[in-house]
This record gives sequence, structure tokens and C-alpha cells, in this order.
Amino acid sequence: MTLASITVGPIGFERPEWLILLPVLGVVVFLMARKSLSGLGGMTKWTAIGARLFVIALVAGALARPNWRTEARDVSVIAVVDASRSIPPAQQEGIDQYIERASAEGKRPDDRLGTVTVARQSLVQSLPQRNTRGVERQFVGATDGTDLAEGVSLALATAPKDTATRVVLMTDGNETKGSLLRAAEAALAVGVPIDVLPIEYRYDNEVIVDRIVTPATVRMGEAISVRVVLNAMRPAVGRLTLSEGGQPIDLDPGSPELGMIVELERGPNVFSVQVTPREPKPQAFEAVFESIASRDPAAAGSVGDSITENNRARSITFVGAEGSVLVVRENAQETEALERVLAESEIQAYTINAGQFPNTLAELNAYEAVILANEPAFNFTEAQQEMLRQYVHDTGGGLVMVGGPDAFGAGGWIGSPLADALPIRLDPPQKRQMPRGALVLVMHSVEAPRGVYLAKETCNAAVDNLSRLDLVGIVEYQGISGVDWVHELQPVGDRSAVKRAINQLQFGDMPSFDESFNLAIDGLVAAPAGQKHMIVISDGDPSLQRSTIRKFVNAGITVSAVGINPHSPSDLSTLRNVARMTGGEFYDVGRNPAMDEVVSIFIKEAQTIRRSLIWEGDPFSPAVVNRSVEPMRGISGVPPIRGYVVAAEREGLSLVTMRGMEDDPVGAVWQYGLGKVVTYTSDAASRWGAAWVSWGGYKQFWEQHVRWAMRPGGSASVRVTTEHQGDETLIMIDALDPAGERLNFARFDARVANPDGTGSPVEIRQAGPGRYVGRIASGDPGSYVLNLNYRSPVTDPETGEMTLLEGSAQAAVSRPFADEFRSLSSNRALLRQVAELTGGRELSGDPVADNLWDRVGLTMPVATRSIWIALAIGGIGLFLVDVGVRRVRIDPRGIAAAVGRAFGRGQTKDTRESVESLKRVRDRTRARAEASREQAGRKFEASDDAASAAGPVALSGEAEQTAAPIVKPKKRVVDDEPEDTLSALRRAKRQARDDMQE
Amino acid sequence: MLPPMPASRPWHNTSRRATQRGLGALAALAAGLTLGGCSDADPATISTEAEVSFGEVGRYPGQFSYPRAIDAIATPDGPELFVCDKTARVQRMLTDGTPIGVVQMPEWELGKPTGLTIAAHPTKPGERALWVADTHYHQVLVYDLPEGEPFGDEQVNPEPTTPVLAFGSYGHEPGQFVYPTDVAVLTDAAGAIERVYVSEYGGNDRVSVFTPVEREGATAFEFDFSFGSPGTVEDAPTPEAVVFNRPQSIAIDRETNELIVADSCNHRLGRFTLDGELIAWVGGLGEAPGSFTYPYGLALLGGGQALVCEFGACRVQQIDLATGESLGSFGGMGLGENTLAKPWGVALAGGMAWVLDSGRNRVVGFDAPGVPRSAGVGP
Repeated sequence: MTLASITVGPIGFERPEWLILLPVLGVVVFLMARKSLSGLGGMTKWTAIGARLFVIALVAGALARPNWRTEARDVSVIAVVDASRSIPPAQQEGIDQYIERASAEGKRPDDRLGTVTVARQSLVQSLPQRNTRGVERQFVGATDGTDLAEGVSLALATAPKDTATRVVLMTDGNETKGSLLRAAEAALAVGVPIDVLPIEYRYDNEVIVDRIVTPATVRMGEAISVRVVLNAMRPAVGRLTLSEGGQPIDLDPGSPELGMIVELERGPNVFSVQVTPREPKPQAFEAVFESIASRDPAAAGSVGDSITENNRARSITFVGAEGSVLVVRENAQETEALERVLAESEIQAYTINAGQFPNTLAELNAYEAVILANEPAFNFTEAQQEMLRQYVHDTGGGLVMVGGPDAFGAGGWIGSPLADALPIRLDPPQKRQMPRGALVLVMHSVEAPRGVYLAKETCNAAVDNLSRLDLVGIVEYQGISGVDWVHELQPVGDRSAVKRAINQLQFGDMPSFDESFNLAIDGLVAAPAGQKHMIVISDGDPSLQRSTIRKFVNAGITVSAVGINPHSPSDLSTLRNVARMTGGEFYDVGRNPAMDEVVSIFIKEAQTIRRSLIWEGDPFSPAVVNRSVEPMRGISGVPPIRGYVVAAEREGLSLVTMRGMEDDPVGAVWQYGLGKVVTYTSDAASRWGAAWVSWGGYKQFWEQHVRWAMRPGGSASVRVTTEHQGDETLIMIDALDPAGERLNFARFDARVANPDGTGSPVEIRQAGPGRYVGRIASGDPGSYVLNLNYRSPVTDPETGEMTLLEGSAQAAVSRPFADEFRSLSSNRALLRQVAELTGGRELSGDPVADNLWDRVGLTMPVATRSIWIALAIGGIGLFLVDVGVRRVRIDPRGIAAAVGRAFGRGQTKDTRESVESLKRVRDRTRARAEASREQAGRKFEASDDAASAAGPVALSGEAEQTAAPIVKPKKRVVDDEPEDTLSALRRAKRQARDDMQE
Repeated sequence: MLPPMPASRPWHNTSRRATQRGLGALAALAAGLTLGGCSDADPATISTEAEVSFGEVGRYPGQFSYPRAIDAIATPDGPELFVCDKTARVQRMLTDGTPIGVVQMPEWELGKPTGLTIAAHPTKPGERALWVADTHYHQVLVYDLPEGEPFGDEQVNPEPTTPVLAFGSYGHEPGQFVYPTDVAVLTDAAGAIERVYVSEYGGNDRVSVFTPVEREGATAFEFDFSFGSPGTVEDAPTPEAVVFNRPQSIAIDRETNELIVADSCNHRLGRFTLDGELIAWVGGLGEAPGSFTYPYGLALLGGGQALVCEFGACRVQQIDLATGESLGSFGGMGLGENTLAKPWGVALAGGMAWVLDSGRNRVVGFDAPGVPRSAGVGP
């Protein structure tokens, strides 16, 4: 059984039931003591009883788990400030001024102010501190969203433990993500009130381009109706422009301008334009409204629009065309032969280099397959790589990856998003004996905006590009603990260890490169690797000895240097020199480099050690191992090749079609998501495949492979229309079979590629004859690309035979602007609810009256410190005193005199006399003690001999004339008179005291 | 001359921390008594325990954003500290952290100052001035000591303060600077400036000496001579070669008429005559007493002793410059009250040493022996 804790003054007891010992034992001790201590003098007796009771109190107290409670007196106010775009800039300034003034008002010196800004992400601008006086907006992130819940959670997370905390939320209450109420519940749970300061605004002069409506699919040459819906808060005049694929459409042929002047009434306004798409590809239509001046007399002269983000809308229409493929290569010779056979096979091919590669999935989706010929990964941005993966997985596009010395593992594709889509693993097989590379990264402080993030991503990218057998090490200056390996030079393995190390990088500002370079060179020299390389990233100001550079030169190890944000251009000379002298590369990425730029440098640099993945040697013919798969149909043997990129077989559904040395997969195919992927690790040019180009089966081989990978076109007529409904989009499909009849009982396998790079399946069901519907969640801004693969049994009207009709269709949905720009007034009700829930206040906005530092309603935290051990020690100490009181005479005057002597003063007459008398007594006692040494040792002991002792028992004073035996023989004590021993002692003590008094 | 020292130290932070320490102090007293009398700290060496500390991270007055340079002066009301951090401002502060003045550098985009010295005023005889080595703008700036209520509405970024005087430009020629790190001012008995020494790094690692001249009715500083060249201990042709690798701090010892240079990346101190002739190198790389790991800060104690603040070893050593012997040490790497995280500088005033615990954005004060001299309190 336990009781709730009890607090007495500053002391709290966790197990107060033990306190019951105090009265119980107290009474017992008191009763016992009255009897057993009756022999003592009054004062001594009561002291002894008091001491015993106190001992019991201390022991009982110690058992009751006592805590010393210190209540905090300081308050932390954490201001959570909405920095999103929905708050007009003037109001943002007002918030800052309010915080500065309100935080100065009534603040005690040790009170602390912390600030958190909220937009799409929440960021701590300053931790709660004594000297902070306002909100200092440093980096607030993207402002096209508001996640108030995250802001409140962050504020709670930064609340100091030793102060009471109040969160002050300054916002319009419009959240686009998260749930503020849920965060408020968390605040309630930890007893933190949330005061709210509603930011009031109303965008009265506002025009929103609500949406632009176009059909999702259209045939080439067909005219379509583009409808633009504008929403005006009050009558307005403006210019509406419409563009198709970036080219403006002349809306008003009568005027020299391309746009048209429109007069808007209050509420929704719809404008409709007839357009005939010009090219067979996905066409993006964009409508833009520019306000001119309001005609409303109330807002005369003012431009009737405040937020420009909501003035544009986009939609995408797929303009039907014959299936085409996109060929990407850097060098025309790379695909010369391949393009020729594609043309002979009547496959429409567009050839570009990586720099021209589409940046949106909708554009890429115009092609049924993409062929990458000897393309390295660093030619594509991370987003493009991810988009390509999505293109295959979610929109069913085909991918043909053709090798060359810059492709596959040797081209840095290891670890790229696209690596998941390939039917082979780019890492070489474990069993394969091959030279491996060793890479050391030396990281120095990156004093650029978001430099730490950038540098970490860069390291990650470099490490991702290495194969599992390669060695990687990271050296940095870890601030307080100096230069060291953050990650020792060791095989990459599954990358978890090195990723952990990267996450812990601190990017300390090292004064000199020597220590870190020496560490790196020692590691690299000892490393069991073929190619060795080092990359250093720095602002260039640490010093470097020539002798250190010479070590790299002597060991033949290249060093590449990335100079980032130098204090002055001349700082980079050290880096330039080290790169030049060791044969590495030097990159000056300037003051504020783009992430992609630095990442691709690191990936490219990591390639330096990746050349080992290329096999080149005497020509041999790869073994055709799988003739049954469609792309290899009819191909029983292939000509010799002179080289290929080594990769490993992927377990699962991939099929290896050709094998090279040690069974390396040279050709492989598989289905990835909705799309199909082909890899051929040798090249399509004469570098490695000279014999192929002149081979009779060359056309058949590539035509079959490319056609197999291409997305099926289909013969049915499928028209897709979309409609926004809140955060969802309704997909409507009207399907006709080749004979023009409604297509029923079709099975749709649909996926949507979301703007965040994820894909999700879409459920499509039949809603009527030839009509199918589905829904997708489309709450985030951006493009959603939908792919529909269908299968349907149809009856041939002539023969009456059942055949299977297969095909696919695409559609795109565009959500142009975030909900952040849809809110045109504040949400005060939500804020009020939050304040009520957490016991906070609704602030007036008056910095003085609001009194942010008010203590009312705050729970002051209490720090507790366990003190049972102190009580227990006190109890033990006092127990000794208790014993002492009864056994040892304390002579205050004697002590005073002794202290006086020790300090050479205090020899007053009284004390001198007293000392004299003490000395006399001592002398006599000593004399007697010497006379009977045996007795002297037993003055206070009950011993057998004591009975015959004749000596006195005085401790001091004059010897008594009629000395009583101090003790009785033990036997007698035990046998006859147990109390007598005690009484004898007491008597002796009394005697001694009397002597003293004399 | 130094102003008189106050008898007591009324400026010490006696707030809550003191009361919290009360019990501990009692216990220590009791322990001291039992062990046989009060153990007076040896007055010849620095204390190993912090007496006071203040500072927190931030950009508001009283806060620091990685402070990298410090100097201190003694006034009749107690010591005052001057601290420069990465907000490119020098805050004048009391020893409880209260800011009482600020100087904001004119520009800071390229980098922030890493050295400052309070020394004789170049134009106002008898007064003191703030000399700033504006490292990344390749110049030396001289300011009046900031006074009054300087933190108006522009709390975070005050308006740039106009310097009294500035000299230096980028370059490798004599009289030019790459990255100046510290300034030391040599005055005569009357307090008039005789010479100004400026240390620098960045490919120009040397000490340049300037003399004041009257030019068109205004004081200017003219290049006189320089000594030292960039180099490392390992690469130096002879041990006596005067090569520097980032001389981060310099100080003048008027007792011995020596210029002491903290040759940071060579992990040693250099003792020079005022004319730049090498007397001796002191120390070398290491963590043992008497060795240094990136000695960044320097303050002279008098009696041929110096306090050396080591960025790498996170400590302050008391060094006998003649023998190179370490007489005591404060700190050590750590996040405790008596340990330091990458300290950049040390200054002396009011019988105490004030070390910049840069990694933790605070200033730590601890007892230091002797009377602070040139580096600590200027002329």
C-alpha cells in the first residue's frame, strides 16, 4: 500500500506511510527511556530522550523518501510566429515589433524569451534565453504553407526544464498541414498554456485564378475548349493571358496585345477559349491574371489584388500521337547505328543530350520509352533521376539503359534512385575478385547558407556512388576533440555506418590542413585498394605545408578540392595548388552554390575510383541464356564484345538474357511497376561492339528490345477528363472499342505519380456503359500524372471471336498553388479554441496590457533532490550523540578554554582558574591511575577485576572520599542485578559532575 | 600607469550561483579545517576553478555568436571586457555580462575580425582606444571606446560605427595585409605611441611594424619594417629561421622590452626584440605542460610570464617565457564549469584572467596572479 506523496514546506515525502514510525516508535522510546534513563539527571535525561526521538524522526524521514523541493521562479515565453505568406508583410513587421515591446514589458532579468517561426517548416530562431529581445528571422524556409502544429510542438520541445513556460502563438490560424488542436492537447498535457494573438486580416481586393479546365486527352487536330475560372472578392479589371506550352495564345486578335482585358464581377467569372493544340505531346496550358485597377469606387485607384501566387493556374492535356522514344546520349557516335535501326523499324525517335532532358514528368510522359546510351548519373539532377524512376514505375514508360565506360556502376548510378528500377545490381557481386577503390573525404567548415545540410547531402551522394567493396573514410575537424576520422577508412558495406558518421559531421573550422591530410594519407597508403583518391571541401583558409602535399605526390594519390565560400578569392590558392600538384581537379563553387552543383561534383569525383568496374579484354561472345523472353525471340547467338560494365545479378523477377565473364549479366530485362526495363552493359557503338554494328541481327535485336520496353499504345479510344473536388480529383474515363461501341467490363490498372515523387494505385470502377470513374488525392500543389493500363475482352463483330483488347492512356492533373494562398481571412475561432483548451489567453495586441510575463496560470516547475541519505547520516550521527550524552561528559568551559589556548587568547581569569582546577584534577587522576594502572583502563568498563578496584571514577574535579565501586563483576551484573551496572555508572558520572562543580 | 585596483570585488556575479555554491563552500571550508587550516591558493599560479562566467548564444546585446577576440581593461568600478564575435561587433561589457557599449564593423560579408586590443589612443593623448584587426577586410581600425546607451532600436544589427582611423589594404607588399590577426601598441613613458605591430596570416604570415606620422594635419601610420615569413617548423631551413604559420596573437612586454608572438599553427611562442630579432622560440606541438596545441590567445602577466590560450588543447597555460616552463593551467577540453571548448582568446584585468570559451559562447573569469600588464590593460 502506498500513500500519495506529502509535502511539508520545502520537503516532500514519496513514501509518507513510513512516517507512522515516528509516533509509534516515539511513544515506545519515550516509555522505555523514562525507565531506563531514570538514573540520569533531568537535563541529561531529556536531552537523551530528545536525541532518541530525533534519531527516530530522521530514520523514519529517511525511509519516507524525502525530497528537497526547489520551485522555479523564472518564466520562459516562447513566441511561435507565423511567417507564412498568408500574413501580409506589414502585419509580419507588426508582430516583430509587438514581440520586442511586449518582451521588454514586465520581464524579470532571469526570464527567458525564445522564438520559433512557422511556415511550411518550423524553425527555432532562438532558444529561450535571458538576453533575447525579439524575433530575429534568419532562415524561415518555404513560406507557401503553414504547419502550426509543428511550431507548437517545437516550442514545447525547446521549453527549459527549470522555468515555467508560456507559448504565445501569433498567427492567422490558417493551417495547411498538421493539426493545431492536437498539438494544443500535447501542450495541455505538459501544463503549458498557449496564449494566442490572432493576426486579423482580410484580403478584400483579391482575385484568384481558381482553375483552368481542359480535357485530359485529346486527339491531334481536335479543337478543345479551355475554360478559365476566376474568383474576385469585388469587381475588378485585369488582363488575362493564356499560354500553351509556354507560347502565348492570342486571345484578342483585334488588338496588338496577346492577352485580353477582362472585367470581373464579384464572385466566380468564367472565360472560355477555343484552342487547337499544335504538337502531338502533352501540352501545358497556363492562365495568368494581372490586375490593372479596380473600378469599385470604394477601392478607387488601388490595384485590386494583393497575393500574386494565386493569380495563375495550369492544366495539362495529352495530345494523342504515335508512340515515340527519347534517346539520350552525349556523343552522336554513341547511338548512330541504333538510331538508324530505329528509323528503319519506324519507331519515332527524338535524340537529345542530358542537358535537354525534360524536367517534368508530364513532358517525359510524351514518350513511350527512354533510351540512355552511355550516360553517367551526374548528367542528371537527383530530381530527374527520381522522375525517370517514377516514369517507369508509375506511368508505365519503358527504359533501355545501354552501357559504355560512363554507364551503370562506372557512371555513378550506384545508389541513384534509378538503380532500383534496373534488372541488375550495379554493385559488383561479392564473390568477384576485382580491384577496389579507396576514397577519403576531408571536410572543413562550410560557411555558406545551409552549408552543413549541403555538405552532408554531398557526402551522402558521394558515398552512395561507391560500390560496397570500395573503401571510404571521412576526416574532419570535430571542434572540441580536434582532427580525427569520423569514419575510419573501411569498406562501404551496407552504408549504414558511414551514413551515421555523415550525420554526425560538425564541419569544424580547422586552422591547418596538415593534421587532417596526414591522417588521410596514412590511411590511404595503408589501404588495400587499387585506385586511391581524396576529396577536400573547404573555404580554403587553413594552412598547408608543402611537405604534406609531397606525401600525396609521392604516393601517387590524387586530391580534388572543392572551394566553397572563401573569405577572399586568394584563399583558394592552397586548394588549387594541392589539386594541381597531385593531379586532381579543383572546383570553385563560389559563395552560394546550388546543391545539385556540389553534389554532382562529388559524384563525379567519386567516379575517379570507380573505373575498376569496367571489364575490357579479348573479344568474346556473350552467352545467350534466355531465348524465350520476348526481346530475345529468334536470337540464338550474338557477336563478340570487347568490354562491358561489371554488375551483379538481381534476385527476383529479373531475367538475364546474356552473360559475360564469370557469368556477369550483360543483358537483362524485367518489369518494374507498370513499366519495362532493359539493360545492356556493353555499348551500342563500335567502341566495344564493333562486330555488332555490322551484324545482321543488329536491327532485330534492338527493335525487339525497344518495342518490348515501349508503353503499349492500344487501339481503344479512351478519353479522360478530370475535375477538382476539394483536396481530391475525380477521374472520369469514357472508353470506346475500335468499332466505336462502348467498352464495358474493362479492367483498369491505374497508378498516379504524385508531385512528391511517390506513386500510388488508383481504384477505377465502372459507373455506367463505357464510363469508368476513380479518385485521387491531390491536396499538394504540383503535377499529378495518371497512367491507365486497361484490358478488356471484346467480340470481333465479323468473326464473333473473343479477343483481348489491351492498351494504356495517360492524363495529368495540375494543382498550381498551395492552399496557403486560398485563405483570404483569418481563422480566429480555431485560435480561441486552442487558448481555451490549454488555459491560455487571447491577447489584445497591446504589448503592455498583454503582460507576457504574467505568472498567473503558469505551473512553476519544481526541482527535487533526494535527501534521504543526508537524513540517514544525520540519524546515525545523532545516534552516536545519544550514546555520547549518556557516556561522555561534555564540559563547555573546558572546550572553550582548549579552543582559547589553541588560538593563544581567551585566557581570562575565570578560564585560567578553571584551567588550573582542571589541571589539578587531571594530575590527581593521573597519579591515581598510575598507582593502579590496571584500574585506569577499566574506569568505565564492567570487568571482573573492577569489583576490587579502589580507584575513583571521576573524570575531573577532586577525587571523592568515599569511592563507590564503579562497576560490579560481570557475573553479578548478568546474574543478579542487571540495572546495577547502569546505576553504578550513573552514580559515577554524577559524582564526577559534582566534583566538577566544586 | 594602471588605475588603482578596488580593494574588494563588488562586480563579481553574486546572484543565484553564489547562493547555490554556498553549501558547497561550507563543506569545502569544513574539509579545509579538518585537513588542518585554510589552504590559501598559491598566489603565484592561476586558479584551476572558474570564479565567474557569463554569456549565451544569440545576436542581441549581451549575447555572443562565436566570440573570437577579447581584451579587458581595469577601471575604478571594476574590469570591463571587450568581446568581438561573428556578428562583427565589439561589445563593451561589465563582468556580469551587461553590455555597456558596442562598435559595429563597417562591413562583415567576407568575414569578421579576429583580433582586438585596447591601447593608447592615436589622436587623443591620455585616452584609450579600441584597435581592431579587421581580418577579412585587410585593415586595422581604431575606434573611440564605445560609451552610453548604444543599443537603440537596431538591437541586432546596429549601425556601423565610424572609426577614428584606419590603415591597411589587401596585398603582399610591405605595409599591406592579407589577414591581419592582432595589434600591439608600443608607447613611450609619456604614453605616446611609438610603434604599432600588426600580425597577419594567409600567405603573408609576418609581423609588420608601423610608426605614427603627421600627414596633412592628421595622424597616419607609415610602414617601418616587418619580420617573419610564411613557413612551418618542419619546412624551416634552420631552427632559428623566423617563419610563422598563422601568428594569431602578439603582445609587448615592457618589462623586458620583448614582443611575444603566438605562432599558432606552428604551436609555439616566439620571443623577439622590439626590432624583430628572434630571442627564442618557446614550446612546440603537444598536450604536455609547456607544449602547445594551436596557441591562439596571449596575455602577459608580468615577471616574464604569459597566459597562453590554446584553441586546440582547450586550456590556458601560465608559461614562464624564459624557461618555457608551464607553471599552471586552467581548463581542459570539456563542457563543465571549469573546462573550455575551443577558446580563442584571453585577457587580464582586475586580478583575474578572462578567457573566451568560444565554443560555448561565454566568457570565463578565474583568478590570475600578478598585475596585468600590456596585453591586458593597454598602456
